[in-house]
Amino acid sequence: MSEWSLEIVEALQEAVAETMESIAFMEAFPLEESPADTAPGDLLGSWIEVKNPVQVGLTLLVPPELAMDITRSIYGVDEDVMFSGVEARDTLAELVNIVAGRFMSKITPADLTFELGLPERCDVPPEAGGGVFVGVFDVEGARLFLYVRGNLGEARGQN
Amino acid sequence: MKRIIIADDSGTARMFIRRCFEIAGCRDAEFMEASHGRQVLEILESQSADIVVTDLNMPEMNGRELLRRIKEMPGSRDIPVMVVTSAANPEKVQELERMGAFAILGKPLSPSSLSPVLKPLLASGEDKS
Repeated sequence: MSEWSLEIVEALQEAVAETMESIAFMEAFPLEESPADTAPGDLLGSWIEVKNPVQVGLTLLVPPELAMDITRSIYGVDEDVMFSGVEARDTLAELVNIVAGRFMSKITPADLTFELGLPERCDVPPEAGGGVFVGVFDVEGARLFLYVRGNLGEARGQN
Repeated sequence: MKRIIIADDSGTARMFIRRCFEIAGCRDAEFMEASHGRQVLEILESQSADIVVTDLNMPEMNGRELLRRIKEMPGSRDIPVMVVTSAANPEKVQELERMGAFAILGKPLSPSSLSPVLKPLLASGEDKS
């Protein structure tokens, strides 16, 4: 986690917080802990690839209950309304899409265009190893995990 | 009554965009939904619309291609096309404007970002219905 520059980490944290606030009307606070500390267990998630100018993948994972809470909040319905897994997954796909867009906008120079792929279902984190950043966030007492894998040098004008 | 087509492969995004339009002054509009650009073209083959709102990144036919096709269709080229995207930057915005996009708005859409863009369209009163 510490391999990533403070600038990148802050951009990721801002992207998550801004996205959660603007679309789900929920606050997301970055935490100083690793996913292992919270033993996430069953998670739902979505993955998106940044295709250009870098090869980066973002994976957003949350417990099913939080996926449902976020979906209810976006739809503006009461707590007793239940959505299907399809709608919860669709919500997570849209969230990771917006987080990726906001994140890349923050770190990409204005004269560089970036392209996003289409979000895909992904319920497991990427394999541990070099180049993986893990952000853990508190969202109304539950955990949201954001994994970023890849090299962001070119997006920042560094080769 | 305005007829508005919302194109996004995410049902959540379509619902969110619709709510923003309703809050921004289109409570009585008729909304039609499409999950990709080809569906929008199918709708436009048989129905008219006052506004098309499209995501950029969609399967089957993306928003850029949809914009190009709409601007080539004799009966549809005057429809204002709003592009909503999470991947906008100045260069892409300029390209979309050159292609004829009426507005390019960031995701997630908000009533406050939509209102000033929508105001002249609502004031025109030129419904297609």
